[in-house]
Amino acid sequence: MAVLVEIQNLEGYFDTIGGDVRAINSVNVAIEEGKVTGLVGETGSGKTMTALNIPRLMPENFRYVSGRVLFRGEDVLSWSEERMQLFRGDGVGIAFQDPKAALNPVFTVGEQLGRALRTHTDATKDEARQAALRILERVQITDPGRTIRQYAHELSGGMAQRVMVALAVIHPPTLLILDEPTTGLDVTVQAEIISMLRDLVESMGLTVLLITHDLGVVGELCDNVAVMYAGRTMEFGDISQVFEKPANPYTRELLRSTESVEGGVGDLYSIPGAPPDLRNLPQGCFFQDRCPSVADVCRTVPPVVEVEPGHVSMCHFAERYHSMPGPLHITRGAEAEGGQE
Amino acid sequence: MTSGDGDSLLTVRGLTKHFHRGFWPRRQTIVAVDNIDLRVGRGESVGLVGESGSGKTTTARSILRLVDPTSGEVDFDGIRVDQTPRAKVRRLYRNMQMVFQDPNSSLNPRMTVRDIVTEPLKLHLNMSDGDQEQRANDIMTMVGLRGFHLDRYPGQLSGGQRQRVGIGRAIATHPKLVFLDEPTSSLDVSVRGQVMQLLIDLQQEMDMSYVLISHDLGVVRQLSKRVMVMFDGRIVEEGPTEQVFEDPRDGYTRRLLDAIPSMDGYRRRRQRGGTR
Repeated sequence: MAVLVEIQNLEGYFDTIGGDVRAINSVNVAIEEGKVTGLVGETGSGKTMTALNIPRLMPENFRYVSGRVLFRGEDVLSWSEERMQLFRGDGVGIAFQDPKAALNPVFTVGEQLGRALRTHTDATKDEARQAALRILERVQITDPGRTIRQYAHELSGGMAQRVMVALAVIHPPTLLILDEPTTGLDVTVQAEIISMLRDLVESMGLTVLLITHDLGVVGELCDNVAVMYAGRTMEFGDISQVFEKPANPYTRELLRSTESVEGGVGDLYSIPGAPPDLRNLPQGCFFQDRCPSVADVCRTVPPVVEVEPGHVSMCHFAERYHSMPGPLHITRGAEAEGGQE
Repeated sequence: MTSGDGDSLLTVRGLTKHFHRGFWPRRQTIVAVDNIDLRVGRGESVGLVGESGSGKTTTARSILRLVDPTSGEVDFDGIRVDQTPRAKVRRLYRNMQMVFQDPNSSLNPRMTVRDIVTEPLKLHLNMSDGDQEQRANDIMTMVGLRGFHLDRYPGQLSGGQRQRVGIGRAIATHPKLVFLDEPTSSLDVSVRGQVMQLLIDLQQEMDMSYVLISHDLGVVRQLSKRVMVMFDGRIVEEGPTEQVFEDPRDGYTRRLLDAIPSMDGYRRRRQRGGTR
């Protein structure tokens, strides 16, 4: 599969009055064409900031230290602002988090969809209207004719999310970024949105970067996954590689605690401690204070180790972790079944 | 309703709450809670699950008289809460407390942690200043914070620490019953487990009863042995948590359980063939 976007050794910080906030510290992600790549991590792990580098929508006080963001081999960071303007919405589209806040409150859904299309094509008003109705149908809105006349405040949370996605894909971008597309929705609505997204991605053949803190959503939608912690991609690979044979202690602990906390499976388990302060990061590995197998060598920055083709981990003990049995009950059960076949 | 473990602490019969919307002649009545029966034993933890708008929070608020129920009986430890005069309702809160969903909005940003956790002691227990300080330090230890946190403001704490303060405030007077309204939903998963463990430990140490309101079925599974499923103001299913989750009888409960996204969802997708 061809790689569409490759983020290499990206590093940068926010220049604030209270000192430098090191939000991005070594990010390495490859987004393959036609696939859904998940960017998963906890609050403040740098998921959204990583994604915003692609359309170059970083806040003004962000300073780059190093790295490249390659789009079909070209470094986006070197492009002119004029070229970026064309690229945004055409090369890359975003469905922002919290759609009720992200949608424009003073224009109807139809007006916003029409504008999104007419910015990038020379469609007439009538063509735009037809396209808007068609796209609302594709995001499985029951009465597009009615929704097209509505304002953001008239929409339910699930409807607003569908409209947000419709806005991002009415002129299909080469890369679609979905930022927490199901957060804040009720679980049954969340399931509908997940199934809608799956249909949409498949039928339109979209390439997607999906940002989420929910490993369940990753499991339902993603082909590849990058696990982030304190601005670093700790692990990256095919979802079955990462979930079943994690080569990083953070991924392992995260999977194990998520299964017990959210799945209610087994005894309650949680990672001790808290993520480090981005103003005051430790030397070396950022997970050292919470890691069950911390050693002296962890005071030095861990290498990016490729444990199998396409599966990388940023840990001194990546090989050792990779050879351990998987942490999840659900996949272990299935492994046993698989072995009997 | 039988549930083997001793006598009831809270018994609710026929609880109903109506809200009104709009004005005559288009005034509408919304039935938020519809004729609910509920029983909580001493030391028991009961889960109340359902989606937003199902009436779980209104049920708790009606029992606590944060809103006045339209009808129904609420018996808490021998006291008829529904008949308690408004002026005396506050006294109930010595033994009946609540931990709110969002610690960012439920803690006064201008009060120090010390003021927040000692306020209930002042209101309900008439403690001397020295005793209050001692108790404030004890509470910090119990919720896994340190003495120096007493001088901090909520804005200086992390989300998990704030929720620990919210829990500390609720348990300060040693209540018999605590309503936990989505106590972990604003927390990241690695911190969420820690707060859940704290709630489990405190319940055992202090012999409290919990009513856990949550849409997160994993949390309910870890914290409550018995569960009630609410839909549209009514309880549609009730029973031991394991039984309800493993073998749901009600169609809505099943839909709710099926809707939870699964970490191994990719396996099903890949087995069906194709690339995803």
